[in-house]
Amino acid sequence: MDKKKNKFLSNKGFVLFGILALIIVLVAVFAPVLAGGIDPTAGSLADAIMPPDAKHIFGTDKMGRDIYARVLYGARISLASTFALVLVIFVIGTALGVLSGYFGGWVDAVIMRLADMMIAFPGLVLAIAVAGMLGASMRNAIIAIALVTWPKYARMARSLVLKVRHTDYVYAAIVTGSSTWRMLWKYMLPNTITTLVITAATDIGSMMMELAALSFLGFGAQPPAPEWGSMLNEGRDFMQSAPWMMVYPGLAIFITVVVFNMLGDNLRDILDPREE
Amino acid sequence: MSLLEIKNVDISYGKNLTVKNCNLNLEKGEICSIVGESGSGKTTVIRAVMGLLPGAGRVSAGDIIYDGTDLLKLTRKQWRSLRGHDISMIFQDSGAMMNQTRLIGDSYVEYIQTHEDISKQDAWAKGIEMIERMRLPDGDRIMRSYPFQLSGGQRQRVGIAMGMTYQPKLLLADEPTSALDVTTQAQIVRQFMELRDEYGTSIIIVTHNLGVAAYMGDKIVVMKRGEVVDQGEREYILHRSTNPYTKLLLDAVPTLGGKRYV
Amino acid sequence: MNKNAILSRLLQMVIVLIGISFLTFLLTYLSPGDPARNLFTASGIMPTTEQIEEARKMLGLDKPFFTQYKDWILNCLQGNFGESFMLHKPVTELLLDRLWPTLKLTIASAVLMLLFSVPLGVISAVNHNKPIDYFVRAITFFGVSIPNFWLGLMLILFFCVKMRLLPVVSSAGDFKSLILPAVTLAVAMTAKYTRQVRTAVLEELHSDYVIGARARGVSENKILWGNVLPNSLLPLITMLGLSVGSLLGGTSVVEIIFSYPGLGNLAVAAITSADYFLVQGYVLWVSIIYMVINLIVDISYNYIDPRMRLRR
Repeated sequence: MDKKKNKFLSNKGFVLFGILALIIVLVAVFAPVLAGGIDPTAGSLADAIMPPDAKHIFGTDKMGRDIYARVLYGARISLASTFALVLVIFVIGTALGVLSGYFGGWVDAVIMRLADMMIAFPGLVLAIAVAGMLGASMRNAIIAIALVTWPKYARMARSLVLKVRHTDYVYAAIVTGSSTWRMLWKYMLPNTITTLVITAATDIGSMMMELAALSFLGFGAQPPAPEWGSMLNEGRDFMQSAPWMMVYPGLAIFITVVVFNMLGDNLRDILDPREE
Repeated sequence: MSLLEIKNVDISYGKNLTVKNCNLNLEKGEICSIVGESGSGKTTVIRAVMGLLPGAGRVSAGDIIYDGTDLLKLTRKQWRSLRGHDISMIFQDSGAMMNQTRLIGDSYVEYIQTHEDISKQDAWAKGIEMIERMRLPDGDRIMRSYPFQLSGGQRQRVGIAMGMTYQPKLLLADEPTSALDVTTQAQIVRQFMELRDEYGTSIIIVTHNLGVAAYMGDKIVVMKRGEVVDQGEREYILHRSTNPYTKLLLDAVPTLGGKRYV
Repeated sequence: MNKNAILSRLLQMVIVLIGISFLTFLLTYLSPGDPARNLFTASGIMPTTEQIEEARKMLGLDKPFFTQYKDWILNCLQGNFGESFMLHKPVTELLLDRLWPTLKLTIASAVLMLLFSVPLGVISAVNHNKPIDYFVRAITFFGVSIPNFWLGLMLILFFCVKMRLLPVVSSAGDFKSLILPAVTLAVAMTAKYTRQVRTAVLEELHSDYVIGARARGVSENKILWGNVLPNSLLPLITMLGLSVGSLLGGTSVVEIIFSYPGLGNLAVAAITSADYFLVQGYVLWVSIIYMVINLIVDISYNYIDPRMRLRR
């Protein structure tokens, strides 16, 4: 157990970005404190579109709301929804992929054809369509993106399962009476976990961006919720007069994505070192 | 002066010392077999002689002197004229050591044109000649094939043909017969012996097969876990050595009717 | 790839297309917007219930789901993709109109991408773990981390608003209106593709035949240019196909930001106004194009790599 801990802790990049990621999470958790008690959804029109000053460090938006507070609270929405999304994709994709690889036959055919369909479908369009159909909200945005992204994990899980499916030791286990559940859980799944966890970790960044993109287009989080993507959308109309409305939320997305991408990369280096 | 002197050589990968204090002398026209189990460091040693240690590997101590030249101090340019010309290497799967997406002939011509300034046709003809000299009929067909289209034995012969193109003084063979079936093994081994007889080539052959090692080697070097544990003339190693590991290896050779065919 | 493989592949494509068309039809059918009503409100008219009913009959929206689906499929097979409720023009005409601009954008971005990612990736791989490698990796890193909508907006802010070098809204499909959207798209793609080039070349560099060639005295340059790079091309072609395919369907956000008259822009507008036929037409077209690109890539891969060609 100690050896394992050392592997993680000795990778300086992992430690560094792990700490940074933790800081971002803490910012989200302690947003009310850090915002100094300011309500991110409250604002008076009298204070609208004011450039950054001592009272409002990032300025105010068109409804007079404090952007700094909104950026901080926005972390909550972004992080929570991104983690939820990645988790959903991970669970569904892995499950379907393992089932597909283990059972083969028509189960495999059906699942894989479904996967092909989702991949050929222009992703954003499906997401918007689902959002349009179910109503625009963060929850539906998550559903939509999950629908389009699960094939990637399913295919990966399936190919990893196939690598061991037809080996002697698996056949031996089946022949000696291991139940299907046991086969799936103890034999197939462990082969897939490491690679898929790495994929999920490295995907956190891009999933966050997709959620922000949907919100940006108006199909995700709805105002007055302080979501970074929709804040960017609001800032668009005021590009010339109030650029700060766009700069800070975008910067927030960028920094968060960079940190989580770095974390994912370092995690991959630890768990799957193929380079010498 | 010996043709090759490996003096007190240590080889390390980063901080890991993998070969300790290796000493070996090879005279002109001599064949030396390096025997040992996997991980004994035998391949590492000859890769070091060629200057082809992968990744972070390097000779961390000692000298390797070939024909009076310190190999550890050569420039890249000097290496390029030496490799494939004065010193050649033959690998376990010669086919894999060629670009799978190009014809054998193209790889061969590329090699020849590195060392000689001749036309593609002349180089091609030279390739055919060498291949046929290694007892592969229809050299042109071989040249026009992809490596994966040939059998193991054919691939090794092509590898030997390429290795011998410039009649190198030193030939390093890394498990050249390990991937072959027994009959082909015997043929390839005989081929190597003829190289020494015909061209006076000095050979170092690395193998885990004591039978092959004993048949070919005038000298035998026994390695275990990165160290040379025993070495000497063939007669000595086979019959008079008192080293326990050597005896262990000898005992592992299967006997038939009480006779050990080594 | 022999004829049988191609045929079975085509069959798969058809099945997938049927699935996609069904899914799309289902989605638009279930969505809350009412195209009959939108038909009127789009022209600023407030319709009565009777008018809406009439419109629904006219558009065939009162028929059962499967009948509508069947009619639509039959029409598609004849090349008739219906008419847009919103714009009162045949879907085919609208899509064709916007196809070329989006294609231009895609090609421009792809060209920019290749121009930068191939040299950068190769340099990075050849100088593995040296400073320039780290530098390139750092740049690609930021490249994939920037949200493209933010980047587009920042570029507009800088080049159009502050520097007044380029027009904010692109009108004609000329070069000036192409460059910023193409750059925006190209940044993320270049970053991603550079990494892929680097990985592909690095893997090739660690092949056995590289060691073999070195052992024969062949120069590093010859090894790189004559062997490693050509071999690296193979997987890169596949990745290029995938990139272009996803680009085609993914230009929506950028087109919207730059008001670029492309397919993506049209698609989003169509969805928000529940313009059934237009949405379905768009999805079908883009899916077909994507699958065709993939098919071409796979076929050429099988043809170029002699191991595939001869090992059957």
